Amino acid sequence: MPETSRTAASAIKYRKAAYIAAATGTAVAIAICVFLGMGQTEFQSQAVLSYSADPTSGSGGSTLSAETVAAEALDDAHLNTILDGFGLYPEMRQGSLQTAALIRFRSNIAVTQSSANKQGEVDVHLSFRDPSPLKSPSVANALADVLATYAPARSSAVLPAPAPDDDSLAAAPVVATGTDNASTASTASNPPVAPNAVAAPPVAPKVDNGNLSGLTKDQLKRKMNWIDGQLADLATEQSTLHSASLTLQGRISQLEMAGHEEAPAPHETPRSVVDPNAATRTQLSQQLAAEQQKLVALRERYTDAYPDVQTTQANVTNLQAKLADLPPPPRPQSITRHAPDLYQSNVDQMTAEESKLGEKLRDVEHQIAGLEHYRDRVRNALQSAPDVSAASPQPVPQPAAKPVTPPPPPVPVKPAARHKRSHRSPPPSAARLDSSAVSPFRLITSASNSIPIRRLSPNRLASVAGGWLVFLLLCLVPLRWTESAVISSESDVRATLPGDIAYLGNVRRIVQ
Amino acid sequence: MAADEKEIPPQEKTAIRRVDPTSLSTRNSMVALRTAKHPSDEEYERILTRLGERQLRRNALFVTSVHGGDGTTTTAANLAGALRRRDTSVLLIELRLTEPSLLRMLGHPAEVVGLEEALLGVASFEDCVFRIGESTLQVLAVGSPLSPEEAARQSGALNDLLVWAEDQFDWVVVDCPPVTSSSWTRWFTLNADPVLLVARSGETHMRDLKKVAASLKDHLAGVMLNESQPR
Repeated sequence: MPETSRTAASAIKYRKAAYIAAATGTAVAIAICVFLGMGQTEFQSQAVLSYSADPTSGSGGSTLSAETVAAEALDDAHLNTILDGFGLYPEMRQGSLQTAALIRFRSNIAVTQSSANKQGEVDVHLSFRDPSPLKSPSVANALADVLATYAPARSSAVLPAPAPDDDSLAAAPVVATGTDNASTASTASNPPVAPNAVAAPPVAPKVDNGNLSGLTKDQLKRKMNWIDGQLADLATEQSTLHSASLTLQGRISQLEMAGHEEAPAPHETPRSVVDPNAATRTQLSQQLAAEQQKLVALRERYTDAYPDVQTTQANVTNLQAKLADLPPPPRPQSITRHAPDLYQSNVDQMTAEESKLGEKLRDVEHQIAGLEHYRDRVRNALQSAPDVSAASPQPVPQPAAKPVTPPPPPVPVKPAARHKRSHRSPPPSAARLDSSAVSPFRLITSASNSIPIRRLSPNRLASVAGGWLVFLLLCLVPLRWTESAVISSESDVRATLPGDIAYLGNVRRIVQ
Repeated sequence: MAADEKEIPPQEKTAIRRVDPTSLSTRNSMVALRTAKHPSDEEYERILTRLGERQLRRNALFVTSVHGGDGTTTTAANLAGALRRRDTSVLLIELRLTEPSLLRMLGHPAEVVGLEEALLGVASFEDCVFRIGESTLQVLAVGSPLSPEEAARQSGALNDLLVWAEDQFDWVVVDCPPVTSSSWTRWFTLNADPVLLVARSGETHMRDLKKVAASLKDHLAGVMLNESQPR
């Protein structure tokens, strides 16, 4: 278009359109930012797994990436099971929208891997996003379980099994994976969260736990893994409660001593109110806590037949016996009776707290005993269950061909040959459980908290701002074009100049 | 101005050079300087009427444009010719000291002393004035262009010229250099008031016209469009 043909009138028309477009684009950009900023917050939970192409040898060498294998493992059957189990996207779980729900589910799952280490293993980060901060870690853990139990040769044989619905587990205070770190760390002051309230899916697949022989070996192994995890969590909580109780006892003793020093009664000496075995008790308790933690860590890797496990178990038993042999600490009432009111009130308060902690501790110990009882039942069922998973790719419960093992006594009894969790590397002396079904994934860290995702993240904001700038530049083209337009008529001049400048008239081309 | 002074203007006392209107080139667009009427005369008359409605602060009009070639000199000459028809004494001054064109457009009349000689002190303003025929329109035109440095040094002389011209004539029409050129010195920015801004159809850009109009501020009396397309 020649420049002289660009009249100002048409240019002004385009300029107005450009201004309108620029204003519209700006409004749209602002609306997008507001929508992203005010949109529903999502929470992301992440589980960390280790991937090795050859888990039996512990070395890499696979041509398949962890992400590829993970995508294969997380097939539709598994995802549908998790969708049903956790009741995700209920509005999309009807009719023709089921596929859309599956697509949305997949879009919220992210599997990333890091570079391989010297052993050829890579860390795989499995994350899941969901609007619910409680569901997010649970689903992430369920997905991680799918990977951890995935066997490439019979990939669809294992389904994620949520927490067993057993009577003996009904009161188990599992340290819920769906709670954040702060809540798990403050178990000394807060009661443990019930597992079914947070971590367990609302519609968990029903398993007849009263008849464990009806389950396949894989399902039993999954139960074993779950029980081991719960036991580890309970042991941690037990240790925490024990330490908190000891701390409170020490604090009470100090307060009582201080109160007696200020007490006017001369016949009550501080010596009479101090626990003479306090130091020994504290030392033994600390040793017991350390040994218990060590035992939990060892059980994560080895069976009870492993020498270190047996030694540590013996140490724990020995320390518990020593603690039990110690005479009970003197009752504080007779002493604090003469303490000043301030000390008296503090001592009373701490004594009450210590009493509550003791109750919680006993409750946890009871639950541990129940879980160990149940673990023994599962172990017995596992030893007698047929290995049918390799032949049957579908997760159909096998018929109970063997009689139910009689329940063991409530006292935890460690079998002589306890199999380890399948995803841990065994010691040379330990027997491997069904090495042909070992998953290339090993669970390293479960998803324990949910991190809110800022929808208006810098990346999204940059995208919106970039798009907006490009749009503005596109709007500037007609603006620039209109600026370069020439004047051709009186209306052009009037449109160009402000209203207070007079247009005096025009003179046509003078023809001689 | 008194009637008797109109009959015997001061400059009449000296031997004022005259240019025969018939000697103007037929291709000259200064139609208002001719004796015969031209259709464009009415358009210039209309512009003068609208200017009169603006109640100008002085009896001078500075004609300028955005760029060179927009028809400033033609417009100034034709406006001066239209004023002449109103039976008033009019002086057309060319202040395009570095790029003069008025004498060329008038056909290089002989025996004309250029304005630059008066500015440089060689001659008086009266010596440089010449008349178009028998009309009351007189002209001060630049004969030889000055260098930009010389033109920039003429501020004092230009002030004297304006005082003299406004005192001697009913109307003074000044042909100024374009606002966007280097010849538009600070003297013009301070003294050119009121200004008639000439835009040329098909040549002047919107952004330039807006920019120049904004730079002239209150000195701008109005804008006219030259060589508009017939509808």
